[in-house]
Amino acid sequence: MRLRPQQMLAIFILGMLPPVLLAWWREGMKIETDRLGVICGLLIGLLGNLGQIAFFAAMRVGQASIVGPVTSLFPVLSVILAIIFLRERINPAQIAGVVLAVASVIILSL
Amino acid sequence: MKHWVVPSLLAVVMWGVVGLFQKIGANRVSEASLLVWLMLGSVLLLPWLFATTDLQDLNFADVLVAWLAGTTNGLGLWFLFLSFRNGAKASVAIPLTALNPLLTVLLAVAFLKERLTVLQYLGVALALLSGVLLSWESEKVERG
Repeated sequence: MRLRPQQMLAIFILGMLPPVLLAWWREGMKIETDRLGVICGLLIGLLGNLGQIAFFAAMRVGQASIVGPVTSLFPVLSVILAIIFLRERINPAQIAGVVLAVASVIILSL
Repeated sequence: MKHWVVPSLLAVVMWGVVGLFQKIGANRVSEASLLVWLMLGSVLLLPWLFATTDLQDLNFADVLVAWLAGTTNGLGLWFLFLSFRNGAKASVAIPLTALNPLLTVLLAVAFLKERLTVLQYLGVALALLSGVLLSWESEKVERG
């Protein structure tokens, strides 16, 4: 792969168009405009890709064997935020599952 | 502080927060609408991306791989939003979907003939076990 990060991300974003258009077409090209839903959607697109740029930047100055496992810790933050803000509760088996999932992703990205 | 620390933490924070927004967004609008809005959010970055690089002299195979990565990512998000719409908890679905390196490793073994290290075998085993544990609740519900 000889693409620069910006080239990769630009093509990656354009590549998302077919499934997005397919999903939209299946829903009769209707779009829901609940304000919070719209804000969340825009932020998912914006922050998700900015996170990708930050990841590329980290990979450029750091070792992949370190940056990969560190950045794979993001689900821990999602779980903590879901417990705090969405009042989600998970059972002990699922807590163990979260810990093992993070451990396995760290190991697989070494 | 090492140079990689700040961008790495920024990536963790942004992706971590995105998980919360995905669940809240899926609670408020349909999965297709959420995909359209996230596409618009992504497109906002395109002017900056095109201003800082060019799309000249690109190799077709590289473009195809990057394009397919975007397409499969879009499909994955569609299914993730569907699971949220069907009641999946963010605290379960996000770690479960983060197991995607498992599939990457298995595909690399199958198609690129890569060999796993002992540590990677351990990672695969832990990933499979965590998948079972994370879906524990839904199995109980189905049995009930």
